[in-house]
Amino acid sequence: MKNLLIFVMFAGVLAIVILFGLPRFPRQENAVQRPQPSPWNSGAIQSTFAGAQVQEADGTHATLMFFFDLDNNTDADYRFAKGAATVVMTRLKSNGSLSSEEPIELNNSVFLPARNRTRIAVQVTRPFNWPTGLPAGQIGPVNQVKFRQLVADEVGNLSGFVMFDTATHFQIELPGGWQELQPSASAAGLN
Amino acid sequence: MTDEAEQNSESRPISVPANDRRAHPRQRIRSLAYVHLGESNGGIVLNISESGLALQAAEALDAGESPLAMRIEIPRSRKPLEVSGEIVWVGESRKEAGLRFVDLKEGALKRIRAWMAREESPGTAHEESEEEVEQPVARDVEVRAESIATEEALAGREHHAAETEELAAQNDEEPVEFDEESADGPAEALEEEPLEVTEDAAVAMEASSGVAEEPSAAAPVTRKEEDRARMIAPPVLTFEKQPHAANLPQTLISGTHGAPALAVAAAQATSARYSTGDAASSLFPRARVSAAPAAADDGWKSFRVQLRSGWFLAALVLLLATISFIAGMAVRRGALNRVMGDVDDAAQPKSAPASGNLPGNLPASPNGNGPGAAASTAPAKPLQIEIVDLENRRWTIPAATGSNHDDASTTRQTQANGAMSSDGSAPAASASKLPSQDSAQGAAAAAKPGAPLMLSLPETPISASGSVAIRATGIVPMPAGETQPGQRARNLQIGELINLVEPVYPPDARQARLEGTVKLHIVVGTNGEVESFHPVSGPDSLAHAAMIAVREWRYRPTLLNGKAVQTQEDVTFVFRLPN
Repeated sequence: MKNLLIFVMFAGVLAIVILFGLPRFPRQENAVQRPQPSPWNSGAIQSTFAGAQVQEADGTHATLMFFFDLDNNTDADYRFAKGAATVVMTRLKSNGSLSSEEPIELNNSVFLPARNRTRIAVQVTRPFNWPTGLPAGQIGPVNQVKFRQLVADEVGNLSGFVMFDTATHFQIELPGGWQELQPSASAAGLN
Repeated sequence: MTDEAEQNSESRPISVPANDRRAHPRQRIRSLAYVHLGESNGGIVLNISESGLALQAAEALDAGESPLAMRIEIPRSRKPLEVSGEIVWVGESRKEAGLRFVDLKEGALKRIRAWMAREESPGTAHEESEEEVEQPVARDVEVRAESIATEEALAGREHHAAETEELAAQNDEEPVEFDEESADGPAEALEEEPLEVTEDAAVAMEASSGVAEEPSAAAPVTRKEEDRARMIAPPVLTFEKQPHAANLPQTLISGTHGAPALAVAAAQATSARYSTGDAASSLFPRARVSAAPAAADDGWKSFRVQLRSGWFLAALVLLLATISFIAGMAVRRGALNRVMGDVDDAAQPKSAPASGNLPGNLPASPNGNGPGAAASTAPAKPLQIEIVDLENRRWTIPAATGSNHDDASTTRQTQANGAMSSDGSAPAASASKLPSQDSAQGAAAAAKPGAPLMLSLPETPISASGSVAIRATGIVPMPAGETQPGQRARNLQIGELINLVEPVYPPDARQARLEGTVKLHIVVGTNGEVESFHPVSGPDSLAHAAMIAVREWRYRPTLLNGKAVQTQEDVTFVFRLPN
């Protein structure tokens, strides 16, 4: 009986060591050579489209920003660093394929507390002759068309964005809420 | 009544028959009680009453020896009983005699009464005898019982019965038959008074083979035979069942021949016990041979099972605790978030976003239609686009014109008037000429009353070099007043491109072998200069090169009814690298 107790205690300690100790050790070389891709977790964090913004970068460029609210459904905090670790791609409306043709990036590094909602922004810069002499009150209709057209041309053929955090292997779908936008002036027979 | 008959009647168990004429009832002595008769003689007490006793002496007695001093060793009593008595009768062998007490003292009388009471209640005697268990007795009893069984086997059961009947006839006594009902009765009845049953050798052998058999009722036993058997082989073994052993096989085997069954029965029924029920119990000291080895073995097994179960439960609890701890730590470390996240998604409803934490003046969840939109409780509002310039001034415009007809129509009207430069408040001079080639596209665009007519011109090649091919489609916005039904546009003069600058193939794109098609949307002012442009599609590097070139383009003014108007063009650049 004493041996049984000792065995059980030993098994418990061994399990704890395996669970907490081994992950801290560096992987073996063969494991590095043949990394096993882990599936992307797309359910832990969900997002909602929050809006679009056009910022003047300079006289000839504008930055389009798309805001999303991220809901962290887990009990862990996460950080999404702006840079190579976080890849933002577009999802085409036509067939749902991912595309990296557009150089879209995360606006800033994001801290996502557990069980919280955080707003993030992805952005893309486009050549755009910023209208001069915009009135302080209400923007004119022509310029509204220009800005609207700018946004529509950017996202008209997209169903949304997808953000991949290569560090945590989280996949966050950033759905588009711009269905009201007309894709471009060509839709009106201009093209 | 003869002496023998008297003796037989005296050997009757405690129950006193109705025709007993003695002043005091006699108690048959079940246990072995020695009586010392002087210095050279002695015997055993057969029965006793408050007035006298019957004994079996070792030497012949003489009636003239009265009064005779007796020292009786009462069973379970350390102090012998000193009495004196006179011989009343002597048997034929002169070894059996009846004595009447003489000058019996009160203390002695009390001891005799107590002795009789103990003999009458065997249970009390058994309890007293429990302290005196000794293992060697079992072996001796077994040996003696085997000899009896052999003798009885030789005699045979039939002879046994005949002899019993004969003896009964001689004694004018009815044979005492085995009380089958008592033997078959419940354990409670058996506990009251152990029945004594004489068994034959076969029964004894069966019992010894491990089969607990009830005594055969076909073997009647007479007192004579009982007495004879008692004198020959006193040990009468009484197997009793404990009250708590009612569920065990009944092992009530009592008799002079039941000894061989002792070992087996004791091994089978751990709670069974036996005691000597006759005088021989003194010779074989009142053994209650408990099945100590077997009971201890079973007890140890049971204890080991319990111990094992206890340790097993303890180990199980410890294991579960360890698993719970590990799982808790895993959850804490987020290792199970993948699993827990899916569960939480289904279990935890999403809360509505707090509009206070939204940056700027963006609407809260303006038009969520993605995966998380279903959980959003905010009312759907039209999407708006926020405009922010370098001075951080902000405007908000609706993303769609359909939801804001007034604003949209104003915009279109202003656009039709050619005020593309700013806010539409300063319309340019309208041309007097309408294009001679009135296109159906323009008519289609003018289907809505008041809507501007966007006149689209056919696509025209502009240039084609070794690496870039350029073609463009002109768009002329027509004022609404100029597009009345049935009215033909006659005074539209399209301004031609007078300064063409071809884009330079970007070196990095050339090095990367990047090819593609770039579409630009340009706006040409009334003076023929490109006022604005923005890419519609195409790779960035190629589009950048195209826009650099387009900035240098110059047009002749387009005139509508003699007025220079703002026009638009969709320009397509095809970048191809030479093979």
